[in-house]
Amino acid sequence: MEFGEYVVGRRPALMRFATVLTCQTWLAEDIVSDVLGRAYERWDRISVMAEPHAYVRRMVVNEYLSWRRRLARTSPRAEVEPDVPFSDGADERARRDALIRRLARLPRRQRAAVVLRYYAGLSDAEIGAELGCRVTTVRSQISRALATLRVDLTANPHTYQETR
Amino acid sequence: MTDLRALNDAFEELERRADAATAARPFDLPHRNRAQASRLVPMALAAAAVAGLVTGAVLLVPNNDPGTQAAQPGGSTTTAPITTTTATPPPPAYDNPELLAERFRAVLGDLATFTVTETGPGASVMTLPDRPITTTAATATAPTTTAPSTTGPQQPKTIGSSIVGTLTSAGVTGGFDLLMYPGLGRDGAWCDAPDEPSCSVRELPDGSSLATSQVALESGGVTHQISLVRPDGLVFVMHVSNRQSPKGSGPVLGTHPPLTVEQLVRIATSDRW
Repeated sequence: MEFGEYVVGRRPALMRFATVLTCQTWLAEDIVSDVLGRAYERWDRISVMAEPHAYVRRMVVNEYLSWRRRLARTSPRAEVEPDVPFSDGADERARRDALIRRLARLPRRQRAAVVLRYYAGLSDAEIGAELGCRVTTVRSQISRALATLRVDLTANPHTYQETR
Repeated sequence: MTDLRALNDAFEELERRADAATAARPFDLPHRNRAQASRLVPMALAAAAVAGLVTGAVLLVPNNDPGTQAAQPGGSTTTAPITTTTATPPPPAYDNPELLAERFRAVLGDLATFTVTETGPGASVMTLPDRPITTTAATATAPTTTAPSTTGPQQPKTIGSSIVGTLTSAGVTGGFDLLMYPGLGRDGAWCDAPDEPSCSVRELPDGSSLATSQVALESGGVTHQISLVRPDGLVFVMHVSNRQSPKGSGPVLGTHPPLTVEQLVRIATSDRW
């Protein structure tokens, strides 16, 4: 696959993935731009892989996990926003935004694990390979993240009782 | 407690935001691309790059795209050393960082003084290959490194200029950066953090696109940001902060950035460039 073809076909998906991962479109753009720039330089090697997109997506994850350390940046805005309680429990939008805020405040590795599992649909073993950690670590990261997110996988998917 | 469906709702909302951002800037891999920019400056600047000082943009254009031509300083006399005795139009301010600093000084007048600590290109242009990059035996057996290939015509080239430093106005000092390059003229001005409420994007009477924002991009400083895209494609980007780094990190130099957003607008739209 040509690089141009890849960018046209997969940049939207990469942007979605990076935005879900970072909760920030500007940071997602930053990361996707960086990653595509580097992928372009090694495209002759990446394009012959069995799954180029999986490799590029992993570059996005790695870029995200190293991002703050590398740039010595701290706290994107969404991570310091106060988690303001809202009174209208039936307001789906407020509930969703609250969940996005909680997602944004997760430690990066926990967030990466949750996104790879519930957004990208990877197995524990695949996530472990992606993040370079053991399967047991993946499971504990995910369960701690779900506790913070207050997501209960056993809850009835059609019942919304309490949102925070 | 909530459930998995709520998580999926959150993911879908983030996807929607991603799609909006993607649609807003097709093929433009712009601004803040530090990894690219840092490769374009000498090694001595690597420490500064880590501190987030580096400016620069990356434009990714398809091969044979007529837009590529716009990336050339079209019609101007930047192929310099043709010396004639007749008066030639002055080179554009983005011709080199020294000239950019000189014009900036003229535009500022007695509004502010500044010191340049870093210079660099304004943007790098990457041309998409029109066919797969062929894997030669040499590169196939080469060890895997991230070093850019030095072969082939697809080397990113750089256009425009940028300067970084500190600026003082009315007794207030802060970090600034300024970059200018002849862009493709296809995309409007942008905010670094488009989701921020302070982001304002509007069109000026002359057809220029102007974006301003006041936001702490890094470390809780205050950054005033402006980007202006003129109808001829020229891109002007400037940040001023109350901290050493124009993006808002490093030592705190003042209580507020040395220039207001309104002053930045007057600077960007000055006819003295």
